[in-house]
Amino acid sequence: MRKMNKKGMAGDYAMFFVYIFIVFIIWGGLAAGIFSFFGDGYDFKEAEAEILINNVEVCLREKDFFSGEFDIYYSCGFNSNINEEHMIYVKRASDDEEIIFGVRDYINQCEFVGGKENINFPECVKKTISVRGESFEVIVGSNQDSRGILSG
Amino acid sequence: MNRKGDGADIIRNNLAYMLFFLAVFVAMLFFVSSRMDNVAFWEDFYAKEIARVIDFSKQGDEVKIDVTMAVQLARKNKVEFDKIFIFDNEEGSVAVSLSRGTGKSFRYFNNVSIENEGTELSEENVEVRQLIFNIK
Repeated sequence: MRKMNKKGMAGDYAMFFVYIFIVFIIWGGLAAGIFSFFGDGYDFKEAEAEILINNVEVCLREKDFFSGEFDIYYSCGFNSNINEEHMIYVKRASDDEEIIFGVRDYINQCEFVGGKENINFPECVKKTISVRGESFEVIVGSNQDSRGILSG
Repeated sequence: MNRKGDGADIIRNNLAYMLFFLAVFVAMLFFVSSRMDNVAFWEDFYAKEIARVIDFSKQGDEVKIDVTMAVQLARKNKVEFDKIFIFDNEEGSVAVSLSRGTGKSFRYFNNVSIENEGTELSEENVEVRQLIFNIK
């Protein structure tokens, strides 16, 4: 019968964690190098916010945003998906009445100074638009990034 | 010293080390190979640029976009032509896949339908491949 020698085995097993640590250091360094070389991707949030604010301006010149039954999706031809990662804020200067579509918290996130350098915050664009003798402050925020998919 | 069966013992004692190394190695191999052609970046780039064009478009427009580089990458990675650019009119999104099994999707905010999409060679330059679709 074979006799097992368990003397001193704890040290051997403990080396496994050292081994894991070394492997992660090596491969983690390689992964970090690849990420830093190829970058984070293509930042499109600000460009998208610019396009969206221009479309809002065109729509604002044609439609009354502050009428009771105004529907921005139908009236301006926007997809309802802008509700999830965008914000459109319009404030009428004459009576300070405001209307917000999409993610309401972006109005706060747009003002955070630290958010300018943080890729997790939305990119925001502001514009003052004069229409029919009225002045409107418009803020548009976008926090949309592409999503990974599994294809066939 | 008894050296009989030592080889098998060494393998058995280090099996966990070898399996772990192999698992990490395979994972890294997939990661590095997906980054080698910068495929993930170009999928991201094309999805966003096509969405940008759609957001600028009006109903009735016909859009032609130079996608030569995307098609070359897809061909290299054995992706079929009809699976490179996929439009989802329900969700309002465009998906770009330049390597088998992966891709990037981006949503456009303009409420339009994309029809008759396809790729064809440019009339001016036969080496340029264009993505063509109609906005409805």
